[in-house]
Amino acid sequence: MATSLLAWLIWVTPLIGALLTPLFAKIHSRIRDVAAVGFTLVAAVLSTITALTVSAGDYTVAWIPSLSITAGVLVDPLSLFMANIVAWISLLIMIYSVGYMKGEFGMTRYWFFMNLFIGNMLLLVLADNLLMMFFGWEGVGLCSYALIGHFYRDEPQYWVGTPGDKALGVSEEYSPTKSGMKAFIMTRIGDIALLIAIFLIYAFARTFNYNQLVTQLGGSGSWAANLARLGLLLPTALLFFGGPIGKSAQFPLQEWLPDAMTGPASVSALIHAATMVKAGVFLTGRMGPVFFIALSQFNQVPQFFGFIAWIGALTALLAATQAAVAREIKKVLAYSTVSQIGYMMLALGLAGLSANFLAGYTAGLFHLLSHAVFKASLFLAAGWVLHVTESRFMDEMGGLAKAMRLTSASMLLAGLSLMGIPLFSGFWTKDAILSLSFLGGQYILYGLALATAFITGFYTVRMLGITLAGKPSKHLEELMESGKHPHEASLTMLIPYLLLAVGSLALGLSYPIYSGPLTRYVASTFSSTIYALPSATSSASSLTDLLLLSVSTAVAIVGGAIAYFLYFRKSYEFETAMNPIQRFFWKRWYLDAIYYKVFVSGLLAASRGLYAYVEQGIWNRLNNVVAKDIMDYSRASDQLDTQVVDRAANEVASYGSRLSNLLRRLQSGVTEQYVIAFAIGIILLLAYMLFVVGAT
Amino acid sequence: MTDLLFLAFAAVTIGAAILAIEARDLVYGAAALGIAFLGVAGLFFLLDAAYVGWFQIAVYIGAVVVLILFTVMLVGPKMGEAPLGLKRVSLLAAILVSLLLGMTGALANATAFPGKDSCGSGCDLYLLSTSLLKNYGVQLEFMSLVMAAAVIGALALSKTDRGP
Amino acid sequence: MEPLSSFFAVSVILLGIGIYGLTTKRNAIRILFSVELIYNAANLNLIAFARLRNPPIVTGQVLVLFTIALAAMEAAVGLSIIILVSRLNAEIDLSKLSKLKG
Repeated sequence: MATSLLAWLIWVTPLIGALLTPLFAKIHSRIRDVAAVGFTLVAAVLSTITALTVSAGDYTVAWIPSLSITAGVLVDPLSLFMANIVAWISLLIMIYSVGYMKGEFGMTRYWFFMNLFIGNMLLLVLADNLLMMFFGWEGVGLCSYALIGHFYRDEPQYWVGTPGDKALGVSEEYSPTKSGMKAFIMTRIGDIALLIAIFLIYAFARTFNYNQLVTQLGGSGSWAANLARLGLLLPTALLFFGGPIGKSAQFPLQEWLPDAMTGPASVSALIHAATMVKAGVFLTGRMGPVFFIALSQFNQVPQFFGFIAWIGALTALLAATQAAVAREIKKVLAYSTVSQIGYMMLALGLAGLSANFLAGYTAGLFHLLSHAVFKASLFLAAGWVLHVTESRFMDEMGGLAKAMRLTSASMLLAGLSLMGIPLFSGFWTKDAILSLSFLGGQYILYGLALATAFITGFYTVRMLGITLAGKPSKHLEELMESGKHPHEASLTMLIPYLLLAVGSLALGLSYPIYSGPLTRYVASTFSSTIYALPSATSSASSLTDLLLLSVSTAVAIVGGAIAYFLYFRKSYEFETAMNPIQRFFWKRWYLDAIYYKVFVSGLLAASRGLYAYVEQGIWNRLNNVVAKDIMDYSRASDQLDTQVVDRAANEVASYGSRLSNLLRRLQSGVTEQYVIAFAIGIILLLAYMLFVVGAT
Repeated sequence: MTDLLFLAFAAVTIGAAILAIEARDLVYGAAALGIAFLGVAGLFFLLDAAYVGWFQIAVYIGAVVVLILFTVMLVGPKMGEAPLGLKRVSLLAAILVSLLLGMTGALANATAFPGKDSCGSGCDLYLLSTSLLKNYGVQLEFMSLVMAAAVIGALALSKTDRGP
Repeated sequence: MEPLSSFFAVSVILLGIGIYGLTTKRNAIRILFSVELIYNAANLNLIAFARLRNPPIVTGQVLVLFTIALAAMEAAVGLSIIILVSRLNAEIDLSKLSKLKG
C-alpha cells in the first residue's frame, strides 16, 4: 500500500498543485510561480522513484462497487516509461514558462491549467482502466482548449495564419479563441467514437480494467468472441482508434493542431512534446496488444493494423508537405509534429502487420521518446525567437545565428535529430520504423515514409536556413534601429531547450547502449500476460540493415541539401504567387477549407434552408391556411364571443386575480409567517399521529 | 436521585430558555442561553451520552455563547430592541405553541415509551469513536470541509474594507 | 429511572420556546437564540431516541456531534452577517431590513 501510494501521488500532485495555485497567487505571484513548478518537479521525481522502487502491478481501490468498477493505477513498464517522459519534459517546459510568461496577464489561470494539464495527462497514462483513462483524456482536451485560447483577448499578434489568406473563400487566419474552439470540437469528434467503443467493450466485457480485458480474452465466451459474433469486433476497434486520431491529430482530424499555435510557445511545446498529442499514441500502444490478441483469434488483424499504419503514413506525408511551404515557424513545427506522430502510428500499425509485434511496438514508443525531446527543444527555442523578433513569420527573421549562438546551436541540434541525421536520437528511431516497414514487406508504406523523410530533411533545413542564416530581414533591421537587438534568452529559458537539444544528441549517441535493455523493459509489459505476442527475430542480414540505414539517411540529406541551396544562400521572401503544387500544399490540401465549407458553412446553410423552406414555406403556409379559416369562423362567432364568452372569461379572470392576490400574501417574505406555517404543519402532523395511535 | 437531577436540569433548561428569549437586555439573554445549553448538556449526561455532553459544553458554551456575547458587545446591547408588546402574532404564536405542547403530551401518553434502561456496551465511548471514524469517516471529512468554508465565509463577511 | 418520554417533553418545550421566539421577535440576535434552542431540542430528541433500542444506537450520538458542529458554524456565519448588517444599516431589526426584498 505504501509504495503504491507513490504511484497515485504522481498524478494527484499536479492536480493538487493546480487547485492550490489561486491560493498561492493570493500570497505573492513569485511564490505562485515557484510552487507551480515545484508540484511538477515533485511529480517528475515521484515518477522516477516509482519506476525504480515500486514493483509492477495493478493497485486498485473500490470505486463504484455496485457495478464492480474499481479505480486504480497500473504500474507497468509502459505506463512508467510514458509517465517519466511526460513528467520530466513537462518540468522543463514549466521552468521555461517562468521566464517566458513573465508579466503576461492571466498567469494564475495559466499555471492552473498547466498543472491541470500535466496532472490529467499523468492520470491518463497511469489509469488502470478505460473509464479513468477517459477522465484524463477529457481533462487534457479541456486544458488544451483553455491554454490554446490563453490570449482570449485576440490581439492580432497572437493569431496564426497570413492576414487575408483564404482558401476556397474560407479564411485561413485563426484567432486564439477560434482555434481553441476548433481544437476542442475536432478532438471531440474522435472522443465520441472512443466513448462508443469503450462502452461497447464494457457492455460485453463488464469491466474497464486493462488487465481484466486481457485475461478475459480466452475461450469462445470471451468479450471479443461475443463482439465478433455480432460482427462488431472490428468496428469497435476502429471506433476506438477514432479517439487517438482526434487527439493525436491524424488524418482526417489533423486540422486542429496547426491552428493550435495561437497559445504561448510553452503551451505548444507541452501539447506537442509531452501531453495531448502523445495521448493518442499512448492509448493505441496501451490497447493495441489487447486488440491484437482479440483480433488475431478471428483473423482480422491486418484490417485494423493496416488501417492504423495507412493513416499514420498518409498523415506523415500530408503534414510534411504542408510544413515544406509554411511561413510561420511554429506552424512548420506543428506540421512536423503531425508528421512525426504519423510515423509513430505507422510503427504501431506495422507492429500488427509484421511478424514481430514487439519490434514495431517499441519502435513507435521510442520514436515518441526521441520526438518528445527534440520537439520540446525546438518549440521552446522557437518561442524565444518569436519573442525576440516580435514576429511569427520566418521571412521577418533571418540572420539570427550571429546574435543568438546558443539558441541557434540548440535549434540546429534538435533539427538534425528531427531530420534523422546519424548519431542523433531521431535517426535511430525513425530508421527503425522505416526498416520495419521495408522488412515487413509493406513497400508502399515504406515509400510513403521515405518520401516523408525526404521532405522532413527539406523543411527542417529550410526552417533553419530562413530563420538563422543569411542577412537580417527588413523587419528585423527596423527592429534593430529602434534599439531592439536580438539577444540570448535568460537562463531559465535557455537551459531547458539547450538541455533538451543536448539530451537529444546524448540519447542518439548512447542509443546502441540503452536500446536493448529499454526494449526488453518496455516489452516486459506484456510478458506477464498469458498470451504471447509474436516477437520473431529479424531475419534480415546486417547488410540489408545497413543499406536501409544509408538509404533513409541519404534521402534526408538530399532533401536537406536542396533546402540548403535554396534557403541558406538567398534571403527568403514570402510570395503570394506560388506554383500550383506549392499552392496546393500551402492551402493545406484544401482540407481545412473543405471541412469548414461542409461542416460549418454546411450546417449553417442547412439550418438557414430549414428556416427558409420548411419554417417559412411549409409551416407558415399551413398556418396561413388554417388561420384564414379560423378567422372566418371566428368573425362569425365574434358576436357570441363578446356577449357570452368574454364576460364569463372576465369573471373567471377576476377570480383568478383575486385568488393570486390572496396567494401573494403567502409569499410575504415575513419570516414569522413562515415559522407559524411550519408550526401549524407540525401540529397537523402530530394530530395525524395521534389519530393513528388512537386508532390502533 | 436521577429523578431529582432530571427535574433540576429540565427546570433550569426551560427557565433559562424562556429568559433567553424574553430578557430585556441582550447580554442577560445571551447568558441565559448559555445556562440553557448547560442544562441540555446535563440532560445528555443523564442519557449516558457523556462525550456529547462535554462536546456540547465545549462548543456551545465555549464557542457559540462567547461569540454571541462578542457580537452583542460589537453591535451594542440595546440595539434594535423593540418594546415588548403583546401583539396579535405573539398571541397566535402562544396559542400554537401550547397546542403543540398539548398534542405532543397526548401523543407521548398514548405511546408506550420504554423506560430508560441500563446502557451497557451501547454507550461505550470506544464504540462511539470507532463508529465515528469507521462508518462516518467520509461525512466527518465533509464536515470539516463545510467548517472550513464557514470559517472562510465568516471571515469574508466581516472583513472591513477600510474605506475613506 | 426517568422514562424517556420526559426527555421528549423537555425537547418539545424547548422547540415551543424556540418557535415562539422566532415568531414574535424581530431582533436578529434574538432570532439566532431561538434557532439555537430549536437545534438543542432536536439534539436532545436524537440522543433520547437513540436510547430507545437496547442496546442503544450509536448513530444518534454521532449525528448530534455533527449537528453541534454545524450549529457552531451556522452561528459563526450568522453572527458575522449580523455584524455586517449592523455596520451597513445601524439596525438589526429584521422587519425593517428590506433591502434585499424584491
